[in-house]
Amino acid sequence: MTRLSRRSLCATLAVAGLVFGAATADAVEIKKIHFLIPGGAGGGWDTTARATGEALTKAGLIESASFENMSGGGGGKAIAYLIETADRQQGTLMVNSTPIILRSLRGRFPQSFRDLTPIASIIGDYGALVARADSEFADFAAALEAYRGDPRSAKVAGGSVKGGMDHLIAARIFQAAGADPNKVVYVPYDAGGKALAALLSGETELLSTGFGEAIEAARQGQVKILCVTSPERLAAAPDVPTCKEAGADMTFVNWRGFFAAPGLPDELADAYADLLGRMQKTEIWKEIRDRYGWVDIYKPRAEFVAFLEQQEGEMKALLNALGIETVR
Amino acid sequence: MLLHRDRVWALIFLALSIAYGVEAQQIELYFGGEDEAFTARTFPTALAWTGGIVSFLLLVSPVDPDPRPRLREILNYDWLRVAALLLLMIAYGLTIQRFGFFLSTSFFLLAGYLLLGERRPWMLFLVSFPLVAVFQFLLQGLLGIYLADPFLARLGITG
Amino acid sequence: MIEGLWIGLTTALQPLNLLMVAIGCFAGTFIGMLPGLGPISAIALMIPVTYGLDPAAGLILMAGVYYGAIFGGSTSSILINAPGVAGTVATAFDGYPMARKGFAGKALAVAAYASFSGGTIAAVFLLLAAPALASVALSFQSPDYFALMVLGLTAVSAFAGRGQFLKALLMTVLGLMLATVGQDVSSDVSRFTFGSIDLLDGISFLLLAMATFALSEALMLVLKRERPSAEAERALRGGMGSLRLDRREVREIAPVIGRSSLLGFLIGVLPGAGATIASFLAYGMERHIAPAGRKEEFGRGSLRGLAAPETANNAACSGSFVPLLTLGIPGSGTTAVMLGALISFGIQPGPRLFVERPDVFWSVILSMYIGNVILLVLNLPLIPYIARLLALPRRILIPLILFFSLTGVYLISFNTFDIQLMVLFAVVAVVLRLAGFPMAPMILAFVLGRLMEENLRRSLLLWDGSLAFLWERPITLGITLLTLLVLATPLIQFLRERRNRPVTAGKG
Repeated sequence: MTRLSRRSLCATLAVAGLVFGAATADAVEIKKIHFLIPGGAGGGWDTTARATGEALTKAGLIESASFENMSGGGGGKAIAYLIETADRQQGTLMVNSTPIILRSLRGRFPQSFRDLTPIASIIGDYGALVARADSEFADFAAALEAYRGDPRSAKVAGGSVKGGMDHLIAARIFQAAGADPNKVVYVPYDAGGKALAALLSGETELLSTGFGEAIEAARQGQVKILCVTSPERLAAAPDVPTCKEAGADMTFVNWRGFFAAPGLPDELADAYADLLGRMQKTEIWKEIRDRYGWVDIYKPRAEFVAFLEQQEGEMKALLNALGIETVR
Repeated sequence: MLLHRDRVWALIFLALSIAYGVEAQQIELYFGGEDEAFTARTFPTALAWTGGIVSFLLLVSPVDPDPRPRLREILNYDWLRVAALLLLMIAYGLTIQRFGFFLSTSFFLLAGYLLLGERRPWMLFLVSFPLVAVFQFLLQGLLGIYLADPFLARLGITG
Repeated sequence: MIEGLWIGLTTALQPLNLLMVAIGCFAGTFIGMLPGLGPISAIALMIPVTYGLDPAAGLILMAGVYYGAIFGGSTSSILINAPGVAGTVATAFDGYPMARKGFAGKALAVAAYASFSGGTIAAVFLLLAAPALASVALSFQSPDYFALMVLGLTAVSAFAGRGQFLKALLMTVLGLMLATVGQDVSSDVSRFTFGSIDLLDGISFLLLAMATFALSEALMLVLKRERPSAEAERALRGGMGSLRLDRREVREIAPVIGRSSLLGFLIGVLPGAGATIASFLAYGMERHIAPAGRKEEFGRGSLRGLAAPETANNAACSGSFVPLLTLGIPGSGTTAVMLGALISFGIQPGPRLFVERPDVFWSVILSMYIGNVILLVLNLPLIPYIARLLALPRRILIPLILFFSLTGVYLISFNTFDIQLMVLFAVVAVVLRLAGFPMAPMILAFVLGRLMEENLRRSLLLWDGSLAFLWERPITLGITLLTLLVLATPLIQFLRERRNRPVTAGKG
């Protein structure tokens, strides 16, 4: 139950942060935001940043938003740039997501989220373990049994590299269910869509993917979701068991959120966090969020940091269990 | 000729393949990857061998007795001007973020035209500053592509 | 179905929507003509613009942008040898030589007709069989894709028939080597990056294509102090040659377009293949089956060599809508962004879409098609003006080409390291070209290399380290046999040629 107590501690911190934020938000008025996107146009980061900017301006919360794409080094280039030019980046927010933790754990770039000013997470997507609609696996238990017998009879497709997010989610689920996470036969594809195609074509038996993508495919009758990594059942799919219910006691959420340059004054950082919080209540945001199937997981400032630390710890333990070196 | 041009190239590619092959053996292997049939090293190693064999074949195969263009022709080419253009491009890359897109690009174009022999002042001006301004307006103003430009920002034209 | 079609048609033909498609076509063509900014950027940039629009209008705008960007991409390939999108690399092989001979107008017109026909024929296939084709899309697995990439690689032989077989082969190996730079696709270890963060994501296709094609070509022109030939000069003055094709030429390319449409469409349907592979395969196939006298024209301004990849490219783009609409699976970067756009209009593609919302299904397809038609109507009259770009004096044109190539790459990554890397590749390319090494096999191998390794590796993982898939999977076996057949013929021909006459020098 340590997780629960930590979470309630976070909530307390968050309330304190919000009160503080609300008190100073009037003092610091933000008129425009420059979004730094560590990847190219059209990707997940790009969509999130542009949708956020659009919602903020259309709702009248800010006057204008600009977007700068800077790809390279799996996102590392933009992080280094933000740190180098910190003194003239006070009006900049960089979008990022779970991979920043994985990549800095594995030493892909020297920085971590601690070198930046975390503002807030805004949306999230749970992981899901999926089988074909006509699969012989009726539920997670059946898949687990097959996996225990012969891991090759429950190969997992995913849209990330080995040691990437989709791989880790699957390994974590099997680990939490008491099986050996090292045995997972993970088949990497270069995008989630191709991994889905592989599952449908019968190349693999299972697919590890985001819940947003999985639920659409399930609605279309292509797949069934064996379990979702959320703490409770989701309103969008009340019939789908959580992994915990299915016998794998774990949760995981892939967050997307914003970071500012290091050394940003606290009142400015709080004002940004407050702004993103107010955005979540606007109609236009609700519309955009529902369209993309995003789940709100607004965690401002200190709460965000605590969440990042917790996720980092879990990921590190799992990577080490898989025999992957971590640098932190 | 004792050492034909193609033979020299064959040797260069042979050396490249060997260097590539050596470097390929330095690629770190993934956890437990040693017993996988196909690792991150497999494909590069195969490539290094293929490259080596093909270079060797080129080395020993009969060569074209009269290659075109001839070496004398090649040496007679306008290398100086090309070198100047290359330096110009490198300078462009070095200044584009410091001076901003507008100034850097305009001067790059201006220098390029001058280098290739354009001398009419009105022409030089017309296809540099105003052209870049229009281009930048299309990109930034209409398409919303962000271009960092400290110079224009100081003038208060862009944010 | 008829009802759905009718609703789709009446929606698409409303005046406001026609205006939208026209705006989209213009914007798309402009974006696509800038080497670097292709359909992916074009659509991504347009999505926020369409947030407030009525979904039908937005979708139609997007269709115009999409086809405009594809069309614009081939324009820069033909005029300045700058293939901004992987799918238009093969277009540059013959389109650019044609333009240099003074037939820029005709080359652009052929590209426009080929794109249009490819799009039209593919649209007919979509109308007739989209839902049924979904199963075709799912019939291909990793081993089959691997075999397909190898088949695509045989298109290299198109550049090997001029006494430079080994040189073409060496460039192929070089292209494959360059493709291995960066983070490994499956195991996430970095290869050949020498500790540089800038090389971690690998060398981008665009960077390599711009440096070795556009930059090196522009530098070669300076190097050789070349003036346009008298003939080309005359053609330039004469309004860039006419757009008109004579009856003989039409008769020559019509069957090419027919075959390439079919091939392109089928390859496009496969989520793991896409427009680039389709264009290479079509180019290779047409060269392979061309009559003896016509073969040598390939790479030097062949009409067939221009029409085939350009048709296949567009047919494949339409074909990729099969897995997108019927399965919800994007097969390429472009269709992934398109999926984002559809979702942002509240349309969720998948098997149910066709059953539950046939009107939406058909209006998506129809608006794509209308985009294609409007594009032809709008752009044909513009071609003479666009082609006149080449009439600019060299001393103005060359700095502009350098600028557009460099910015095209810079505008995607915003990383100045890329500019320096381009200069390096351009120098290497110039030197290699002077030594008679062809660039096309290198770029072709670069594009296919990553996919080849990835699929082979996955196949071995799935088949537990055994190569049995080569003969146990019928599709793999079929494609492999076809590859062997394709390889055998020119090799025999090459050997026979070698015996009969002395080696001739290749063109730089």
